[in-house]
Amino acid sequence: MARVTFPFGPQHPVLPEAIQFQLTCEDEKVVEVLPVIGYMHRGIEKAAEKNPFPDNVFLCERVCGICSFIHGATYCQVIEKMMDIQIPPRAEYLRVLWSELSRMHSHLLWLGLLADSFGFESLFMQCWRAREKVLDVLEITSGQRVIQSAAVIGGVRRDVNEELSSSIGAILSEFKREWDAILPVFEKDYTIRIRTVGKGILPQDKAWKLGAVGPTLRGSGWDVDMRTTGYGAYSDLDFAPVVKSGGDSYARMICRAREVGTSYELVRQVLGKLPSGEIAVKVNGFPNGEAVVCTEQPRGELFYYAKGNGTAYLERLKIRTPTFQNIVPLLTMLPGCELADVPVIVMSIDPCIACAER
Amino acid sequence: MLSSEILSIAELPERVEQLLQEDARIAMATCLDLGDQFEVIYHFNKGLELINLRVRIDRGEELPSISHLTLNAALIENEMREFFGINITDIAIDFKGGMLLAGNSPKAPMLKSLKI
Repeated sequence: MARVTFPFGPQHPVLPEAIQFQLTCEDEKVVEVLPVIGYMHRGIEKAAEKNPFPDNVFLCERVCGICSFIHGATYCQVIEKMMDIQIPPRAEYLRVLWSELSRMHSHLLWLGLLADSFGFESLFMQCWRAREKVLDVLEITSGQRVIQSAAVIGGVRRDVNEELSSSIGAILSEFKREWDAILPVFEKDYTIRIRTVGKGILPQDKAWKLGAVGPTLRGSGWDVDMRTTGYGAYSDLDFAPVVKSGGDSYARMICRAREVGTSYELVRQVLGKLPSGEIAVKVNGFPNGEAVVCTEQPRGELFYYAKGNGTAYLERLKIRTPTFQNIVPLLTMLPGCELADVPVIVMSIDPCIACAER
Repeated sequence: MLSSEILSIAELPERVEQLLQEDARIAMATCLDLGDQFEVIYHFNKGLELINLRVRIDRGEELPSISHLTLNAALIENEMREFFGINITDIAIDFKGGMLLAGNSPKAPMLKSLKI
């Protein structure tokens, strides 16, 4: 049988960002895949060495436009760890608030894009309509829908008072009513199951060995979530990672869909338990030494390494995003699949290419 | 200072193999430009624990790839080679210097000597 090699991307209706896969097919079956990346590299790690270290919060927030708060907060955490700064408990809780709202809006954005990738347009619109409510909460709490800029080294920039807290509660109650109608569609709809069950299987043993993280790993049966390490206020909050066996696109989708509910519950807990007190401490001096921090982004484990040299400028900042880790597992999912399933399988890792290339 | 094991280039593959047998996996590798030398820190996940291996190499010295032991090191090593100009040999998926950088990009942009 003749083999044909052709490009999938970098511009493709299903891809929100530019990445290419060189697919080799025999008839309609994919037999080989080679990724071609580099369309969105911005030199962020080099730029981080040129800024005074407090300014890198703004830079890191721009690694990703979807989970920008978590990037900013993780950068703050790595610097705080290096400088041995203890931030106030209220700031820890507020960081969880914005992190979980970011996870909710990221997952809802992705669920909508997934629905769009298999032609379920009304579901796409319903997901994005529900997401608007989460963005409303981000806007009233931080002043921004996309780049919140709420984290600073030493704490957070904005507070949530009681009046704001009750407004958030009211908006989230409306959101919950909508979401409770959407979730069963993802879980049970016949069309969605046909397009996702058994597609792009990542076996449990390979998922770990190949470096998969986040819902891509948990969808292959691994109970691994960096939030369970108890960083920030997570140690005070009750939650369990969503894990699903199966390793297919359906399992990865269900993990993300159910994580929306987990994040909703975490936001409710934060609002109910928010400690009183300051929201930031003053930071003196310059970072010196090394530190690593790993946090849980919507797409999985986020890794920040920083090295300071006792000046205002960092010696090195290394950022590894979840999508970078999930590219190699994706190369295992695609061979053997039908060409028509490629868009859904590629989408199933929730690729964020700007993040991966930095 | 990050707790880490300091290894020679020759000791690295054996220690990596040992970690992989203990169900650890590579999370990332960080390269540091020390002037005459590079320091490469290989970060491994073992469950939720992080294990760091440090290797120092002279400029121009070859660093054998570990991607034949663990395939997900391939993208990490391609990036390190492009950004620092380290001579990493036998990478399992070899982008030949074109993974993240374009043909007209500055060469080895992460070197301290390169002012951008």
